[in-house]
Amino acid sequence: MPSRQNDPAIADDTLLCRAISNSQVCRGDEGTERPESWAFLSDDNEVSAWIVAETNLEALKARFPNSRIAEFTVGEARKYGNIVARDPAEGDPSHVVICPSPGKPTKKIRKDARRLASKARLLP
Amino acid sequence: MSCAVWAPTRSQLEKPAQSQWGRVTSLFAAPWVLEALDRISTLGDLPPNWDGYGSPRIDIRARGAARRFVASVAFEGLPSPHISPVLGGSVGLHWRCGDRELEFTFQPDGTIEFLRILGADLDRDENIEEGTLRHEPETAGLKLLLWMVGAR
Repeated sequence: MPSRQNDPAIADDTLLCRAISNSQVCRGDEGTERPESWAFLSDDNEVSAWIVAETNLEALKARFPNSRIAEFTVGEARKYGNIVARDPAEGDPSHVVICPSPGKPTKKIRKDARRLASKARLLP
Repeated sequence: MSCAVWAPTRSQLEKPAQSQWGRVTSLFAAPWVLEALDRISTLGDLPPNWDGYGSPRIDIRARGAARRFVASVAFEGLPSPHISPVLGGSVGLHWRCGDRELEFTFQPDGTIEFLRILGADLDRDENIEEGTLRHEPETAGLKLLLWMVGAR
């Protein structure tokens, strides 16, 4: 698989969304919900997300039944040592992948998944 | 969620019974245990692609390892864990007690990884620790959980 390049044309304040399985949503002390850190990991180190302004959230919800939609910004993904690149999978131009920056240690990938999960906001 | 310090029964775990032939776990010790064991079992019912991203079914070995771990740390002062399917056929157990958290990932190959949260500010590197439970994982995991509830 070719190495991904960060796309600087995607601004830090761009809002991304990712479908999170209901079973990967946990509840905090105050009843607030957030995704589990495992929801921001991928076997191939490419975590799928979609640019909110370019996608149809209702269609995304229909594509991922039994899931919630989590929102976060490109800047948040980058802050935690990732690059964001467009990946128009299946002809969907709004699809992006979030990948660890080159050379990022595996241990940091795990920690940063937890950090990003804590920033993600679940839509009702 | 309150997290009572587990002082009254701690000595029991530190002095395991000497006269039994194999490990015995009292399921009456902690109300959350049966529920957790059942929940881990039901992860086996998830179909392939349960997350929509192509994840395989949850592996029976991962479920078995998670169940054994839960049975081995079944003490009353421990809050109920959130039990999650994890990519790659793994099982995740997530315990939280105030600002302290522990995430255990049980992989099909027997590896048990942990992530320990030591404080609310996750941007501080010293507040997150990750590692693998390599030697006597149930004992090592129990020590981590005792730390989480404030008993050690």
